[in-house]
Amino acid sequence: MYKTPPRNDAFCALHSALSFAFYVVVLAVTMLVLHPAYLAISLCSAAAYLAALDTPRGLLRRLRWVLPLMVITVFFNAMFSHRGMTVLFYLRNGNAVTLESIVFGLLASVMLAATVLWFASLHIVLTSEKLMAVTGRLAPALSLLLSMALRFVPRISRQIKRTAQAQRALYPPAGLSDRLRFGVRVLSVTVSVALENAVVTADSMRSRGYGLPGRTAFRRERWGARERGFAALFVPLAAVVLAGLLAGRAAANFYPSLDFAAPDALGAASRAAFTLLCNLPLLLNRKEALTWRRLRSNI
Amino acid sequence: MASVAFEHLTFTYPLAETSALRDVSLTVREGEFLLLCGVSGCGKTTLLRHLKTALTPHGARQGRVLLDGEALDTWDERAQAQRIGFVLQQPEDQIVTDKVWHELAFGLENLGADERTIQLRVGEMASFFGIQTWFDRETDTLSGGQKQLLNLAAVMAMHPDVLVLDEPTGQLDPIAAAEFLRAVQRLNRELGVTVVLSEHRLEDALAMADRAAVLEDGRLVALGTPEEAARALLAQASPFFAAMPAPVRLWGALGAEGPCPLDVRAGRALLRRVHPAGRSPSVEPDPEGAPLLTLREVWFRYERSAPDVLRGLDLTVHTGEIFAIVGGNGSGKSTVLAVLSGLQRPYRGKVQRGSATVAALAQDPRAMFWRDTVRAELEDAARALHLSSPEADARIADAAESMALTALLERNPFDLSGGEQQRAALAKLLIRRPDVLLLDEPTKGMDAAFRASLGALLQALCARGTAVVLVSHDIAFCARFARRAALLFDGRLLAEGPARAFFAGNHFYTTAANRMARPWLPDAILCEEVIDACRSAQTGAGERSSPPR
Repeated sequence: MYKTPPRNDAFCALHSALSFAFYVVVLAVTMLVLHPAYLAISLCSAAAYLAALDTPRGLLRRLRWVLPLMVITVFFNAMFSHRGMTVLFYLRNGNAVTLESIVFGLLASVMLAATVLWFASLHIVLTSEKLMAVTGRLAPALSLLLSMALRFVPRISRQIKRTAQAQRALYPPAGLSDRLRFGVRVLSVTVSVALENAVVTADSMRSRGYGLPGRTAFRRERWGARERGFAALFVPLAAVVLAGLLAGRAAANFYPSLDFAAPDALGAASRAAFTLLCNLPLLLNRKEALTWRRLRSNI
Repeated sequence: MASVAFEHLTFTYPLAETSALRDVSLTVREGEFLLLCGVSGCGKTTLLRHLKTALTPHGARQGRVLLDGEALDTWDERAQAQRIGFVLQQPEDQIVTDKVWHELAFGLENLGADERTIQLRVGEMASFFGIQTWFDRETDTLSGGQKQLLNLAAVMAMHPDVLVLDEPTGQLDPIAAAEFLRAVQRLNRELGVTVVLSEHRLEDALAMADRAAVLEDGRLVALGTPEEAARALLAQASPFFAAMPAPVRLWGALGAEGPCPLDVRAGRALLRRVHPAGRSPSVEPDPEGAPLLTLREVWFRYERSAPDVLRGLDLTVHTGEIFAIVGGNGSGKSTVLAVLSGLQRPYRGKVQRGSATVAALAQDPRAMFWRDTVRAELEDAARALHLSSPEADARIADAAESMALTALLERNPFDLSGGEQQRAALAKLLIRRPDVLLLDEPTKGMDAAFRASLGALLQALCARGTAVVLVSHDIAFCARFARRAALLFDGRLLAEGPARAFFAGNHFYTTAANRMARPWLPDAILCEEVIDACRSAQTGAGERSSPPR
């Protein structure tokens, strides 16, 4: 299920709205911008944060299947897309392999890899609790539903296991059709038991006043000085990145020939802001680490 | 704080021929701890559910329920939700959310409390119950005892004036149950909360209660302090007196003189006066049956890197015996059953099963059903064996009869009571004619009468040569019905031997009767044995005190 976040990661401890906003901005830029500079920044930052959040070994474990995926993407794009002016060589069937399609495939694969790595760290940072705090703000009823679903899933899977065990003692399945019937039976028994149990849950909810008007959603987080500080950095940086993007400084054309927007002052500022923004979690952790070292050396 | 009262309450379920409650009048005073008891199906739950409109069953009703002197239905839903806290029997099913902290906040969220209030109350309750260490955990990872404690804390966070608990410890092991009841007692003593508790295991609860009320067939038959209630039951020769704790039964059997002892210490004081004869019941060595199933130096762990659960366990099951395994939580009792049934394989050691067939009863018997009637269930079990039809019919009739199901064959298994469901599940297993039956906590959540009838059924099975292996926290049940017993500790069976020798030799893992009478009757493990010895001591003393002149 959900990993508990590493307690000493400062970014994990931030308010859910900030973690949510961070991933929205970073993932949006990564997935919508096909410019080499932005994608390189995104991929490197995603890898660096994941390595810090999980372990370098955890990063390698994911790269083990991300890298082949990248190679396959590049390969297939080059094989099947023959647009572009710069022909490198011809295939045996007469189709051209172009520089443009290779570069496009390469950037697409980097985008894929960066997205996967960002999602890997998102999975650790945005715990079910944070997810619920975010949805609780948008739709309180949905948030309770989510919480109940998260409680229900492990319970029902355990119930299925128990039922299968009990039924196997009575009717050991032999053969494929038997096995199929066995599965249907286990599922039907599990549903009956779950429905009965749900009656108790409903009683417990009603007896505690569920359904009264004016329900509030309790969140266990606060918007403090750290959140204000982080937001004061995050919002301007995001604005600069966005300004660069809207002004076309991340424009990229691949066909018929490669044409990337050259960096001027605004473009450079936008890229620098994106670099900083992507690494805010790491910087925050770095700052905490320094504070700790200073505190310790004072003792 | 508040008082609740029932005034001439009579209630009949739809389509039922008899009333579930008959003219019940009972006032629970402010700050009182009232214990409600009675056999299963006597109307305890029906009565308690009348204390909250949202939970009240449908049916024909006469009489009134009052909260603070006013009819309950004049209080709106919000007031009722807040003022009356309800804890039900099933620890698992009552939990609504996935996180402990969220569960604690759930009731207050419903009431629309603001964040600061919720924070404070949740923190307060978590501290009161000592659950701050698992505040962050997922509710799914808690033990049964922790879950029930969480349910209690979640209700208490709403600051109710009245706490209603419907057999809250039925699914808990004795240690968790005692801890839970202590928490309830603290709430009553320290916060002044009015408590209405229904229980079928009276050992701990009776001594805590200010007053006890006994229901029989929907009628209130005894009400008063535990002693008064016990005297009333005794005067009516009520069968429910047999469910009283051992010291009370002893006191009743000896003529109910002096104050009623409610715990082992007081029971001992009573025995000191009587001074029972030191004649201990004989330990007749049972002729052992042929070995059916043998575990030899079995080592087991669930995962390669996990700690060993069984560490060189030896165990032999013989024909026609009930073998009881007792031990603390997490000692691996259920694992032993899994190895015996072949569900888990040891990584070292030998399991000699020979030709013996083994059948395990699931803890939740509902998992074994899937048809509409008990008869269909039994027929299905027979069909799976591909028997000839006369043979199948004979086995079905036999299984139904031996589990006392003949009258229930046309009922839906999901409509049966817990004890009946268990018997139906057992009957399904018996169709396979297993040589060894494995039972995991078979008496959980059952009252004294059901336990006695289950024990008798098991003994009848054993007389026919079936072996029964059961793991249980229910010492009294094991002591009464098992032929051999052992303590599972540190992955091994300790002190395996005849049940009497085993329980008489233990200090803690033994019956209340033995703990009471130990100085005088070290080998007595059943309450009846102590009573017999006391009676013979009394008549003996009577003869001595009036010497012929």
